[in-house]
Amino acid sequence: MSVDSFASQKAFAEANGGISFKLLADFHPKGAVAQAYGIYNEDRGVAGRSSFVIDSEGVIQDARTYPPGELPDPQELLGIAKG
Amino acid sequence: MAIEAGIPAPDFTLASHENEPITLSELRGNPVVLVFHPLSFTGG
Repeated sequence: MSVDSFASQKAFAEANGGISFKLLADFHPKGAVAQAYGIYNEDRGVAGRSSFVIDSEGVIQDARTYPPGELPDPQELLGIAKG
Repeated sequence: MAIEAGIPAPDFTLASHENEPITLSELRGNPVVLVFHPLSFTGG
């Protein structure tokens, strides 16, 4: 998810040939969910790149933040999610 | 500071790119992976 609007996320999904996951718009109030997760960058007005694996009980199982240039590994995160 | 493992995930309802509302707590019973990125259409 990001602070982009629904329309922007739709365009981004289409530009990437369709996606198999949900792209969420944390747009209004801007960044509210990013703030709840403690990864909102107040200076830039965007979410910091980060990932959270939530178990089937709704408890955070794994939380990570990524420095510039580093990207989450989807397979690794899905592996954690599946236990 | 980012929230840490072991605490309940803050609930939310947000619109997806298909303009459907997604509520985290309604996904209970399944694991969920949340990934935040700064801005779409950027490398940042």
